[in-house]
Amino acid sequence: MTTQIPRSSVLARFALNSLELAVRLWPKNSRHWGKALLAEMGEITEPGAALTWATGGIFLFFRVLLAHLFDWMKLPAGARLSNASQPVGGNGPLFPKHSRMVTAVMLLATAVLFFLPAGREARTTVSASWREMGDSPSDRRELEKLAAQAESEHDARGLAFVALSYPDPQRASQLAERAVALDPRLVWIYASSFGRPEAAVMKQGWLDRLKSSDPDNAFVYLVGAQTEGEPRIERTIVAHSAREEALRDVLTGDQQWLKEMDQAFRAPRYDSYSKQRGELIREGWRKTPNLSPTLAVYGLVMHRLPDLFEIKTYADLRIREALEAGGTGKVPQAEQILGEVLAFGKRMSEGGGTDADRLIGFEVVRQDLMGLSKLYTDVGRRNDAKNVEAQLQEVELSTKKLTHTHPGFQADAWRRYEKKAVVVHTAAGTALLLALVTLLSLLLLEVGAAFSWRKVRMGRRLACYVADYGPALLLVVSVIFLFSFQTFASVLEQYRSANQTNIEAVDFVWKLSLLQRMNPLSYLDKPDSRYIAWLVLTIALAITALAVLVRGLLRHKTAHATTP
Amino acid sequence: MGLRLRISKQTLAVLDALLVHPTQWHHGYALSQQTGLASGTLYPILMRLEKSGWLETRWEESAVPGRPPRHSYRLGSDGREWAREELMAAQESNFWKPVQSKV
Repeated sequence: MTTQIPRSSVLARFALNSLELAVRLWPKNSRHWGKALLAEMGEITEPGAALTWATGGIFLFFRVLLAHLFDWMKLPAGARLSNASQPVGGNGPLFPKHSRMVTAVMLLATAVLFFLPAGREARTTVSASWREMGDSPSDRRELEKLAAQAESEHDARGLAFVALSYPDPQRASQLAERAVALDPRLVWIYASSFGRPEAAVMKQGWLDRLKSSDPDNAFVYLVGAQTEGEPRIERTIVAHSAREEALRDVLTGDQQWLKEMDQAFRAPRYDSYSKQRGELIREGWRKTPNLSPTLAVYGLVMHRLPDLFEIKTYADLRIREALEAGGTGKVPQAEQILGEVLAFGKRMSEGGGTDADRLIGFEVVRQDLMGLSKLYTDVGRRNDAKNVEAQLQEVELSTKKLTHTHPGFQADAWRRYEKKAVVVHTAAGTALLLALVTLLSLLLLEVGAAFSWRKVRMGRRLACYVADYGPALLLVVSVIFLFSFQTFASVLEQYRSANQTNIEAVDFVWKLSLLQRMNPLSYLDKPDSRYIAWLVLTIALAITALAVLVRGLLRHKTAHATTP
Repeated sequence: MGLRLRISKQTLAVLDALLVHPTQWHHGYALSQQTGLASGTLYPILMRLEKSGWLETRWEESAVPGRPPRHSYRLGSDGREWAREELMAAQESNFWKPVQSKV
């Protein structure tokens, strides 16, 4: 094309080239207007005027394109503008009843629901429960982002939060060291990191730092004893047997283990750092409320708990020692030993922090009181034995109370949350299936239009039916899902906003674990009577959906056959 | 035919310009200069006028060899009558004043 635009005017040349490109892309039915605009460029000699003319042409192109898109959106999925005037019915192609616009609005509304903060939380929580609360690549990306931010702000608590939540032990230990380097008061997170499945995480030197920073705390010595005893127990189980007797012998024959346990029982304080850990996780989660709850749960669950077997083994050893002393007439010595064990048990049950700590404490106290009762009975101090029996009953009552107030022991609450979890999973699963089927149908209609224009097939009829009703149904099911998730959303919110640590943490983890236990995928590898309700519901829904689909299909077929 | 157009001042200006020499064919750039409208405003008006049947269009060979054919426009006989009525009505209601005299 020849124009009068001077070669030196780069801007005008650019405008001309852009207009030429726009004309090439112009919708066919109005392309002649683009050509008309372009032809006039040859008459314009002023570069400025040429630029203005071309710019106007490009604006017109976009306007035409939008109008074209709008017209296209007014047609049903699979229909082309060039075929819009074709008569419907007869041997012509079959299309959905609703326009693309209606479909797009429904799908967009559904997408918006899932991208709003509440929807995003529901989506990430339920998808995490489908992964058995395992982390996802997006969780790791989010953690890395948080770690980078905390590092740049020299935020030791932020780094510690990421360290506790990070499922990769190597990366978690790097972050933990960095956090402690920035704020040595956070050294307790070394004890928390020890709770991970990989024992190697407890690095050389961490234990010494823990002991030197908190020498009066029995918990750090228990961690030390476990570091020593656990590998020995594992080796014994693998090489010989898992008999309790053999395992006890292994532990009591280890001088280092005995030393650590002795220090733990003598230490004046017991603190398993559960309060600090709960606060740190809550604080980190409040700062990033969109973080997957999986990570918060991970940080809470992976905390090292004292090993009941090891504590009982050492308590047994001391009680036997006391009874032997009592048997040889050294009653005050026996009383002193039993007193030490009792004091340790009380420290655990009174100042532990978590229910697990308390239960272990009660067990030690119970074990010790039984020993004391035997001692007094053997030496003929019946009144003292009676007093001890009364104390024993009190301890048993306290243990019972604690176990019965635990949410896991409340059958009604359990069943209620189970039902709610089933509704959440049913709605989520149905929404996911509907989304997949609807998108597949729309894709088939759009792509299939190119090669099966004249063929009305069963598949096409089905695709039309799904394209008509799928988006609306998807929107409804998504709303149901979000409503049903509110129970669990309030659990998450309660945990984030609460001030206490232990009770809420247990309650929170328990309720979320129910969501995870009732997930449809876990049914596949853990068949259990609890899942029967879920299975029956799923089958019933599938049958209903199938019936609705077949009925609609038949109606569609009849309507199509009777159209002249 | 039969479609009702929304008559804006810009549309009236185009009608006015087309009525200067009503039987002659007009080119887009010339109309733009006459009316002072940019191409992005002028062409949508021409497109609407053509769609409603008032405007006749044709392609004509350029006077300069090697240049592409140009699109030209004029009002049809019904279109001319309609345009005059619209212009008159707009003038009477003081909505618009003719610019023909200025050209």
